[in-house]
Amino acid sequence: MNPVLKFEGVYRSYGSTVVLNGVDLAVHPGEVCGLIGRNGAGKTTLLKIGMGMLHPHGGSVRTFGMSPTDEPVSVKKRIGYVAEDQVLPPGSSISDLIAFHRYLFPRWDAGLEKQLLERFSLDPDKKIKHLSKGQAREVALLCAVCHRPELLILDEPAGGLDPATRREFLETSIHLLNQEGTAILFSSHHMGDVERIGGRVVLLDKGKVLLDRDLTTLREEICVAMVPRSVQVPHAFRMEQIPGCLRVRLVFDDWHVVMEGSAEGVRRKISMALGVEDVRCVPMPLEELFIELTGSER
Amino acid sequence: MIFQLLKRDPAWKVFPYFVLIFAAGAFAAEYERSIIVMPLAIATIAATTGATQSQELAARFFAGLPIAKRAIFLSRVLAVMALIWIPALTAAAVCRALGSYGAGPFVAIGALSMPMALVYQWLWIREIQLRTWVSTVVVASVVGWMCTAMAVFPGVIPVPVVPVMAISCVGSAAIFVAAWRSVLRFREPAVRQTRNTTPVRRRIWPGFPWWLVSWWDLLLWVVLGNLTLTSAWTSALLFVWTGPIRQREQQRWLDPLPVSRRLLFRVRTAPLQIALAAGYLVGSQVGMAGGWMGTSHMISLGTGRSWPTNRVTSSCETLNVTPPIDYWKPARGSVPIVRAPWGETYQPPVVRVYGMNVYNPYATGCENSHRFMDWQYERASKDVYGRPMPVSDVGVVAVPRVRTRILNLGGILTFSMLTMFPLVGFDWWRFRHFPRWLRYGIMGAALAAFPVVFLAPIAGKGGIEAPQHAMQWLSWWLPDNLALPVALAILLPTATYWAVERMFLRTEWIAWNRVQPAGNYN
Repeated sequence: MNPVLKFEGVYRSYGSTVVLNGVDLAVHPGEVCGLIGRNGAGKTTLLKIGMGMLHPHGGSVRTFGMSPTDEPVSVKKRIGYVAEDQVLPPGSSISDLIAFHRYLFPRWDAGLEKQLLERFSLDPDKKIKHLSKGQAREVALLCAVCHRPELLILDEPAGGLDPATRREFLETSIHLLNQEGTAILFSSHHMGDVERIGGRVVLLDKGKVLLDRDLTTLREEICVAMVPRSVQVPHAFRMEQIPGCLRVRLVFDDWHVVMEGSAEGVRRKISMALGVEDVRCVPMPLEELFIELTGSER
Repeated sequence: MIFQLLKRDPAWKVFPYFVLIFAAGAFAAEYERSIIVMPLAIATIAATTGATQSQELAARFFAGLPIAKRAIFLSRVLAVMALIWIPALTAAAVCRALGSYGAGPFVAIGALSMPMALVYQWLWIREIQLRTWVSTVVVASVVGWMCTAMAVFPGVIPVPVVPVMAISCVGSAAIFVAAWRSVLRFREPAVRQTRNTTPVRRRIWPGFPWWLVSWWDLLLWVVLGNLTLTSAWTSALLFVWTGPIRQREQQRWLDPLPVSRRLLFRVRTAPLQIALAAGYLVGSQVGMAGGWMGTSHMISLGTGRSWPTNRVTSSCETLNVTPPIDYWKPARGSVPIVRAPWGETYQPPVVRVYGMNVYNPYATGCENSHRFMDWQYERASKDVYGRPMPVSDVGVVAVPRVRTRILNLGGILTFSMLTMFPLVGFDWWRFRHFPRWLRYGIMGAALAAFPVVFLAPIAGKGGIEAPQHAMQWLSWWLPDNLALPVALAILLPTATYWAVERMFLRTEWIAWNRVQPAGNYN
């Protein structure tokens, strides 16, 4: 199956700051893919490159098999996009904005529009500038999904929303579209959202894809081993050489080693490699794993 | 507290630019004799907006601190007054030092801006948001008034300073008191409250949904059309750049939508260019659009030998007939001797204007008779007005030559696109890939060009008239037929449009300021 979105060795910088440094990623039809990473990891840049809103400085990007910068209109007609910093025209009303989207998207689903207006309790005559942040985001979602896109790109879509609105927002996005085979690529800082939505998790760090796993696999096959610092371990490099090691960092009195494999398997592997017995190994929730993989030493 | 707030007011961010532009305006007023409209317009904009967005952001920050509302208001008013008066007084001092006009015009500008600034603050406190069409009418009226004043009073606008100052002070005091009393009742200092408004069902114009994209531009079109209608078209070029800058932020919401960049470019530029062109064509036809900045387009009579007046070599009793510059002829080889039917002759002197040798075919010398002068005036009036007229009818405003109008039209369209070129270029994706030193160098050079345009007259260069000079130079340089001017008037705008459009297709709209998602921020 051809991917709807494919990044190959994508490189992008802002002046001398390299944001993406050889990113490879493919999203297939019907797939739900959560993009996580620290602030400045390049998530927004990557999503905007996929949309054709930014140009890659190296590598190639194909969206629906086309270059999003060479054929932006054809590409964007098949994509829905909601971002945390998305700007809507403040002077227009909801109905004006919807009319404009209806004009742009021939496949506009008026039934879904009506359904969502009711579900979100939106007054079509209300001006955008008079909406609350959550309502504005709901309008953006409505505009993004009512043309039944083949790919929905959500860039921190629920950032700044209260938990109830966030839940409502994400569930609507997922249930409306993914059931129909729409691929969803979303970035988020909320690991709870990522876990709830499920699918695949891609961790972006320092401009590269550090981790790309199915969520279920991630839960079962990645764990963190804690090796006491008092144990005579020469240095982190030795642990990094262990097959399956993703990251080593020092946290107070322990070395935290993120490893691929089951807890027992990893414990055994570390004991053998380092010759130590006092190793604890536990599977971790996504948020903890994120911190282990991207956090600094303490 | 007031001083602490004053120090942190966002007005100071734009303050150095205002001082610079006003001072440049003073130099330009001195050397160009008419460009007072520039600082006047800037003062109007400064007074009415007062760094609006920054004001919102700063006030939102202050609102979270234990500061009295009136302290915030007072500090804001003081900052805006400084924003107006320090540049105005600087410009006034420059003008006074240079000698020709004295401090009066710029003091008057400050005086006129003061109540406008206070009205804006008052509206802001009362949370009154003017409807767009009201704002459009108000600003268009002010600009229209300025341009009409420019047309009626060539040169610096003669404003009676003392009465204007007195009226302004009284008016400002009244507005200040009204605003001061409103502060406690209305604005929580600065957090914009959502007011329940009666929903108005707007009819969507089905055939033209683009109004949603471009309705903000209506004001700009009106203002620029007005400028080309009532004054020299180069003054309109000074404001063309404001469109792309504002559109860039206002239309960012279109970026993720399947809107063709080519189509968007047309939506952005076509109405603007139509407004500029229509303003110029109507203005030149009805004689409102002057020849050069502040000069009427007419045959003038003087006792000097040649034009322009600052090139007068000596004065004599005989009046010299001076038609508008576009009726002068290029001196290719020797200048023909003008011979009257009764045998009296005169060989007009060659004058170098804009790098081209030209002569006035209707000139009269000091030794020529009054009869010769009358005969020359009749010839000139036949050429300029289409019918011979007696000297007693002097002062009738003329319509520029057809070739001049064609070339100026091409010039308006070309230079307006060139003005957009750097702004589009800064967003060009390759530009962002340049090393920082190169990017900053290019941006610095583009920014520096702005004051240079105003200071150029000091070095005897054309300044903002340069585009008009260039078109006149072309008019003289081209053979005396209409085919080539028409071809150039089509080719030049088309080429510049193509180049800017090509760049626009590959631009990236990265926010200059981090913008919050739309909606209420309470």
